Amino acid sequence: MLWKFALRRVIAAIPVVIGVTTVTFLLMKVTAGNYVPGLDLNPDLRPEDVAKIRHELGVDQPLYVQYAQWMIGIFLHGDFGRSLRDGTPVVQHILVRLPASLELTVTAILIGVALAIPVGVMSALRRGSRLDNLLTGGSVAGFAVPQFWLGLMAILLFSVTFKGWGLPWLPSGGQQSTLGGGDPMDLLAHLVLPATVLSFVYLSIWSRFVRSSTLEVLSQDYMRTARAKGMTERRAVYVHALRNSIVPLVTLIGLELPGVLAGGLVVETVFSWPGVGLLTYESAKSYDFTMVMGTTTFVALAVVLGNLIADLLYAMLDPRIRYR
Amino acid sequence: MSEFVTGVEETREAVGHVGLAASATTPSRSYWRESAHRVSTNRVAVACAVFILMLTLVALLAPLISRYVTHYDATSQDLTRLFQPPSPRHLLGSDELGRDTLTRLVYGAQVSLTVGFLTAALSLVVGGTVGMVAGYLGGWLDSLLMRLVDVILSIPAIFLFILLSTLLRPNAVTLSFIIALVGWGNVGRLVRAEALSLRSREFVVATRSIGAGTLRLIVRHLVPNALPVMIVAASLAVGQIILAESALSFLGLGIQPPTPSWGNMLSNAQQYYYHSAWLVVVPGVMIFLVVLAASLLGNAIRDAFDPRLR
Repeated sequence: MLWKFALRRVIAAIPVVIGVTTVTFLLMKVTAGNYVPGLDLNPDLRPEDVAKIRHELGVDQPLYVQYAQWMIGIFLHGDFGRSLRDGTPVVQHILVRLPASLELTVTAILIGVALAIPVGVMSALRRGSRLDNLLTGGSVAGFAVPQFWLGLMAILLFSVTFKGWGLPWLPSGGQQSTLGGGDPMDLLAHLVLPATVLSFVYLSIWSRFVRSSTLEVLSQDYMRTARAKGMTERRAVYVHALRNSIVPLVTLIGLELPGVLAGGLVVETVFSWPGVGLLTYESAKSYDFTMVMGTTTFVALAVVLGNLIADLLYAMLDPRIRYR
Repeated sequence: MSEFVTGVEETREAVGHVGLAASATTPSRSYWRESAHRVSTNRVAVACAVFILMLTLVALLAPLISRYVTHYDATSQDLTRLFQPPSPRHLLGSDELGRDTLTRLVYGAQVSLTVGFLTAALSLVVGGTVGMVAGYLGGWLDSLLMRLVDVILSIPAIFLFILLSTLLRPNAVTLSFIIALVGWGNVGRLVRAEALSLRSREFVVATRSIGAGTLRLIVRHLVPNALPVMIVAASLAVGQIILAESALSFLGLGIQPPTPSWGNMLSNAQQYYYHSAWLVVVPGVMIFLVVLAASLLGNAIRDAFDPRLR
């Protein structure tokens, strides 16, 4: 049954994968066309040199040929195009930056989940109390804070001000110290601020979700049965209710993946974290359109894959889903 | 109009007698009046609405404020008075080019609010149309349009914004179009679901049976009924749109200097942490307050339109 479900989900993802690659290609071609930055204005290049460079980059081909090359490149060779600036494969740059991005996003998701569950369950158990109101208010506020500003404030407080006061301070950017960095404590110190800032928004979304799903589970018949059997409140809540209320969180995390990765770009930029987001930002700044197109497509495909995994995981954890 | 009211009455009855007490005291109030009443009696919502209205007023009167209150232009530089801390002369200090922070903040409000409202309106029009067509007509068109929405929503928005804004040299209006290009997806999904459920209602079947065409049915009967969903979607979106705009401008890919926006003010300020922290604090607080007000108001509007909470 699970295999059938998995197969159905994989087949449903195929049009989205094709759509994503097509949409990024079209957006890029419709807006930028075959423009190569700096090429036409460069007085040192003879027209035949320009033609040669354009030919090597493949932008002298008709649109449908370029599209076919793009799609074949991605799906047969894992090739996301070439940088407009130096002709190196985009995927090579992505693979160099990917570990840093994964480190940041996975840590942020873990922090978010680890805090969202206790916060959500606590507000649900004490529904209407002052604590609940405080936490709910906090999550509304957390949703309204601009991530990049939160990052700036965190740097201002934990790096600049703490340093000024002579307290232990945290580094304001990068993945490790440039001189003598790289030991676990150094890596951890660099990771704390960006990961916490990135997890903040999701903490507020996920804790509200856990709160409402816990409330829903608490009013279920099997909870009444559990209590009627004489089960302790503690066991009823933490074993029976908790399991059922946090399983849907898996789907939500899958759905929020585009948001986490988008937030990752902003946070990576603020903290000069050398991930795929910063790569995209730097490429955009230097008008390397194909690089931006390549990373965008790559990240979008990662989202589709992440959603698929979340769906399958959910189906494994909750058998009811498979039979829908 | 009568079918519209009928439809709503049906929902109310179907939901049960939760709202019985309220409707017993106010039997003749329409759905819209009732919703408006509920927003206007919600103190938080009113405070947020007043805040947003005041800010809109300030944004509209920005030229007058810069002339008569702060006495500075948003872009006039004074290189002899850089990084002034807040003082009677510069109420919120001055920046790295000696420009008055308050004046720039006021002009920045113009950008944020223009982008926020324009983008919400654009996504509403596009998402509403697509959702209506997909939900009402169904079939292959529905599948196609909804797959398109899936595609757009699975690309992390900021990457798309970056791709588009490197190519389009954005100002407030183009930036709105860029953000709306992604933002309509959510509205489209919600409106489609609404249209799908309205399609099989009796009043729609009846209207069709007396010969109303598809266009008339959608425009005259489905749109008014789906309007609450659209209004809620749009009002919840405004805050997130303002966040997106400020993030893009902060990255230098949104509103271009010297035009001030809260985002690009922060991007300049981040180099001057060490001595001029107020430049980093003030614009961020403004973004936070506006987004907070917009989302609280959006939540209140959502609750007011929700028949289950009546």
